[in-house]
Amino acid sequence: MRLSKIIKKTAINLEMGAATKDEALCSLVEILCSAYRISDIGTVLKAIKAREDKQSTGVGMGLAVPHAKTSVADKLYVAFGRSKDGVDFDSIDGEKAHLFFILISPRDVSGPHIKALAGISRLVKHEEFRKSLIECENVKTFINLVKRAEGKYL
Amino acid sequence: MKVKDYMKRSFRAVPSHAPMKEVARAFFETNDSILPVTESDGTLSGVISIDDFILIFLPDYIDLIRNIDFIHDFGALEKASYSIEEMLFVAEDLQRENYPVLDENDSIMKAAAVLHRTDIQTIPVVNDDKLVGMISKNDFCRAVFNMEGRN
Repeated sequence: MRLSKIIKKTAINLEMGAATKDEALCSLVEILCSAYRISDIGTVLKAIKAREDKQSTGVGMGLAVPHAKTSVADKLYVAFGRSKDGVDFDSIDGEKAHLFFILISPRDVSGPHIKALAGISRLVKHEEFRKSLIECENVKTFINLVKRAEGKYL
Repeated sequence: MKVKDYMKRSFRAVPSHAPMKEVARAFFETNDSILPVTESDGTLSGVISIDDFILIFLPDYIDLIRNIDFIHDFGALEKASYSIEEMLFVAEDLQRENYPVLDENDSIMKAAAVLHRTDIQTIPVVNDDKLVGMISKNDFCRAVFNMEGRN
């Protein structure tokens, strides 16, 4: 699963405004639903929050990957948000999260969801890549950085 | 002959919030290729296949390679740490929700037909959506000759 091939440019927000985990989740769901024209925002937000309740997806190193399977999704959808100030996201290392990938996929299939999460994990393990996402100035650069990392690490 | 008469009542399941390490341990300890996932009230939430679990660790390009005989190792992937994956996945993220399920009052012949048609080795058995057992092709062998055995 190549992130660069499935993420829409309009699903990338490098100036996400959110002060709390709740606000961050709402913003991310809005970015995702607006980019892919998903009307049932409430159901998506509920699914994402229910999954967060089971275990925070704040994996540390300034990164969070909220995700869920929901009947609202007919396929895998991905969006990205970046918060310059960072958000307290109940991360494992106690640090604020700055980079957010959000994913939703249908309930009845497991493969694409697993592959997408595994692919993102494989990219963000590299500090150089995380740093470049923190510093990138526009959406075009973001896409190019992801493409380059995919060529190198996937 | 009913499924409930031949299913295994002693089985391992993991809660939907179980972390990845617990899922890995359950697969290792049961030596089964599927693992049922339950909610806190005992309702069957889904089933994790060992193949889906392994999918996490394989490189993306593996499906594109026709012949893997010439690959001796996967370079950096062999030494990768999986701390992020460990944080990111819980049991429900790995589960399939459309996995075949039998009711404990289904007949043993129906169980055999479902097992045969789906080419699945083991199927969860429910009563009122609650997971109550697991039945396999091997249990069918026992049932047709009404053999005694572990239940």
